[in-house]
Amino acid sequence: MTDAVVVVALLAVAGCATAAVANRDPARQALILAVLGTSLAVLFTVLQAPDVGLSQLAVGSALTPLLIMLSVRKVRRRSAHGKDSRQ
Amino acid sequence: MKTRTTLLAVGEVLAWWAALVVLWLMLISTVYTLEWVVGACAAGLGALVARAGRRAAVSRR
Amino acid sequence: MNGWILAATVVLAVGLGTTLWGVATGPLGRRVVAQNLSTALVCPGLLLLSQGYSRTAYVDLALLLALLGPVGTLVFVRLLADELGDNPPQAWGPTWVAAGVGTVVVAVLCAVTGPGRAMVKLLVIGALLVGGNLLASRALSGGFPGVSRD
Repeated sequence: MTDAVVVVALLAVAGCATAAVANRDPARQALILAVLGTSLAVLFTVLQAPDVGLSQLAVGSALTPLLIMLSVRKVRRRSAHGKDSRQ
Repeated sequence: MKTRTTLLAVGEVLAWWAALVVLWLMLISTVYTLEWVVGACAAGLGALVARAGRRAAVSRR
Repeated sequence: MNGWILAATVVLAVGLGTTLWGVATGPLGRRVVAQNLSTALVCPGLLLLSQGYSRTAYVDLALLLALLGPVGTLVFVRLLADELGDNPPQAWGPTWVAAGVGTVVVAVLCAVTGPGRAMVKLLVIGALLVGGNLLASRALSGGFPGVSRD
């Protein structure tokens, strides 16, 4: 019966990962990745590994989305710049 | 005037320090001497950073 | 299996299920709202899990999530400001529901814990959770004009 919460966490992780793969836009993928990080932390907690969950929360909930969004912004700005200079 | 500014700065850092030490003592599980020492040092650093952050936020406005 | 873990399972299933559905489909504004609500709903679940396993150290996970969840949402608000600018997402109903869930869970756990430092820690987590959630929602709905000036 305690396994019910493990099943819920596993289903959430599997659903998030599938949704992250199924999306094409990097900004939306970053949003799903943030939720995936949170559900992974829940999974680690219910598997009795709260230390791993703590580092997963610290990295996955704010740091990874920040890095991805900064890279997306830089790439978009550079491509917009290139188009302007060519025209 | 200058003494007043210094006193205000020291008072602000002390207020931040006291608040951060109280927060540290609330968040730890067991209280003993080493925890007090580490908490006081961390709260000192945090108080300096907090004052710098507040001044940066105020001067930007 | 005890009641705490059952309650945590329900909170996590409902919270993660709805936010996964919200973040995987629909327009961009709704996705950001769903990401914000996922942290606001998982945090009470983690608190309930800590009580269910009777390990007070697990509370630190909820503390970190209550601190970093709104930070993550503010990252998205800041960096998606151009896409969200014309119609900022307004979702005060779900926000207040999440804040209510957090408040109820923290209040129940405080009543169980009894007065002491552990209760103060729970109250700090609750204040961070509800305050950060409301702040992030206000920032999402365009409550802080002039933040994105570049």
